[in-house]
Amino acid sequence: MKGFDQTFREEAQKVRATPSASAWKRIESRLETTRARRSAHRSRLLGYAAGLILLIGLTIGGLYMLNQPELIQRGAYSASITDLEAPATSGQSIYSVEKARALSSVMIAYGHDSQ
Amino acid sequence: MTEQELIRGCKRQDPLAQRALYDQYSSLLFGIVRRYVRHQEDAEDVFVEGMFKILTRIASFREEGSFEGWMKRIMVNEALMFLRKKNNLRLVADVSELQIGDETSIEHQIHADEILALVDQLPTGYRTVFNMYVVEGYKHREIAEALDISINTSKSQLILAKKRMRELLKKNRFHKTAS
Repeated sequence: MKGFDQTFREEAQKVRATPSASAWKRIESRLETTRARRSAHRSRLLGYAAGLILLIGLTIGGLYMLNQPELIQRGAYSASITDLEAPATSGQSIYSVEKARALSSVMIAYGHDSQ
Repeated sequence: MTEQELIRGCKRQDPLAQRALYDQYSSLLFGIVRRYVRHQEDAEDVFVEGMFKILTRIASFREEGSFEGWMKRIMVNEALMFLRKKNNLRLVADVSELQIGDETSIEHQIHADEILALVDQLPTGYRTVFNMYVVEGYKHREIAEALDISINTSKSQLILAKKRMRELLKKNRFHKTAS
């Protein structure tokens, strides 16, 4: 014959009780809050990652450009400076073109010296 | 949905799988909580907290052991946490009430539908130690650690719980016979 403890254990494992309907509603609303918080967190992380990649890309690109003397010789930098200043008023743009040319000749001279 | 599909779905935080898991296991898990926590409202608070933990921490369940066992442990721990907080379970070994022969077995038979009514009549300390030892199979050392009491206190609470249970069963049986 089974002992009391064993019978009690077996019977206790059969015990079922029903929580009220509001129990699931409480759990569901907490799950939704967690889900929303998680997705906001994920978007923020993605934003940070994208910013970091952009920064690294720009840094590498910049360093690459600075280490290419041929680009400086060909006047690539002066052209870009002129392009950037082109939308200014007509009087200023002549001045900018002259300034850019002066700057590029300095850079070309520096490029020749370094070689 | 099989148990594995349920687990995988809940790991993906799929709302349909979460609801299906709730439907399948809520009565079993709430039954466990009710064995430890007497009042329906308190038991429901514990159950909601435990269920939320199950559904949000399911990723940590390694699909090696029993899933039901893993969920039951979370519910029991949640109930114990509640009892420690609310009742400040500072139980002491009340040896004056103990007599030689108290450890003798209980001869009455018991059925699942009587269990909640019976354990609800036990004081919190008796009920907690009795459930942990007899149903969940904890050792006195583990109970002492979980409830922050001495091993002797755990042993005496169990003996006293059984003594009280025997009296209650005798009384209930008498009432049943008389009615």
